[in-house]
Amino acid sequence: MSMEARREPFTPDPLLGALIGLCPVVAASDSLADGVILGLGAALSALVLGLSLPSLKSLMPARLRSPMAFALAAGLAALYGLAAEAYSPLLAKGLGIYLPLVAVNCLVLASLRRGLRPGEDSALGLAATVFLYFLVSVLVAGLREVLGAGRLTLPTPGLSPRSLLILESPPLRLLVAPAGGFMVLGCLAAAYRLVQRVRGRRLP
Amino acid sequence: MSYLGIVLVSAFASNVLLAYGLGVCPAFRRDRESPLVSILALGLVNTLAAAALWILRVLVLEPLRLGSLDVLLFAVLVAPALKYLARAVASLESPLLRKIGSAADEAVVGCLVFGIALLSSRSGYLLPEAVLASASSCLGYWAALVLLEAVRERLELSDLPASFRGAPSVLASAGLMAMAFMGIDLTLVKNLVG
Repeated sequence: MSMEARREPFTPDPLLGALIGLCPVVAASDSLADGVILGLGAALSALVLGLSLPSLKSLMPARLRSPMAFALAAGLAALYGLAAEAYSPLLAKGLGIYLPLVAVNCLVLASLRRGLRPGEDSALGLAATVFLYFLVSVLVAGLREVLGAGRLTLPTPGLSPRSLLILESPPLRLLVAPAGGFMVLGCLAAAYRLVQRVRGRRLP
Repeated sequence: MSYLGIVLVSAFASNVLLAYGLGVCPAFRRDRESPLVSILALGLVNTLAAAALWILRVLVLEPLRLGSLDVLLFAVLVAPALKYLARAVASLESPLLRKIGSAADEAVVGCLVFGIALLSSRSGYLLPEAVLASASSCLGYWAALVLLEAVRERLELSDLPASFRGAPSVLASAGLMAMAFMGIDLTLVKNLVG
């Protein structure tokens, strides 16, 4: 289990609050379709693991629980990768290494760890967390694509995804590069902290 | 590409942290091991993982057209073997080796190690080149971490708006650093060192 997943609690605001599961959002989610595919992959894997492991762990020998749970996460990522390739080969090819990396996304690892611990939060809390992660990853990807490329690529099935033209001349082309991903995420995290401060909650 | 070109591309032009966003979650936390232990542990794990995944992918999966199952083989074969090795190193008597072993044990299952192994095995390199690329990627990650740490120290002394203090300002600074790293691009490196 990775260090970050071991030390971080499973928080209700994973992406902007606890900064968990950043890697696909920062680098690969430069279009709405990529954000949807990667966000959905991580959210679904985290949800399936978080819901199934509490019941499955009694079937696993205690010493092999972690490796078996990780193999399950990898199996889910491989399946999701094959499904994404069948749904839209072009989008899946463009995502490259990020589809298999869903297996080691920090959100998925945190969910895996949560599933192996006794007496954890409700399934509803888990579902709300992963849904929030999905929403924020789609928001970041959409924002980067609109401001950086002036369009929105829809995750439509088939060989060529559909695009909607939003801006004739995009104001910040840098945003579709990984550098832009860091900046957008930094600004959104600051906005999130501002909202939390107004509500009287402080983040580290 | 020449070996020097592979080192420069992996460490700078394709920096795993700033260009691929790998290992970005731990990079924004302060509770890391000492830099020497971290770099040695990461180097050990990354190099072995990249070599093992290259062998599995290029010699076993690709001839069978099963390349997309590399994630499964990594989880079932490579990660447990590396964890076992890291725990064996952690049980040695030397305090440094013990620290390296436990840091390596923590690092095995994470997007940094798996991501670098995937990049090295999918780049069309030969085995020695893939191993060199993974070691250089690890060096590039460490260099970016050291730079970010220096930036973070300066930011802590700066008068920033309250909501930008901490991780948000470091994320925005990482974006600026990534822009600087974009200046060292693949074509430039190829033209300089072949």
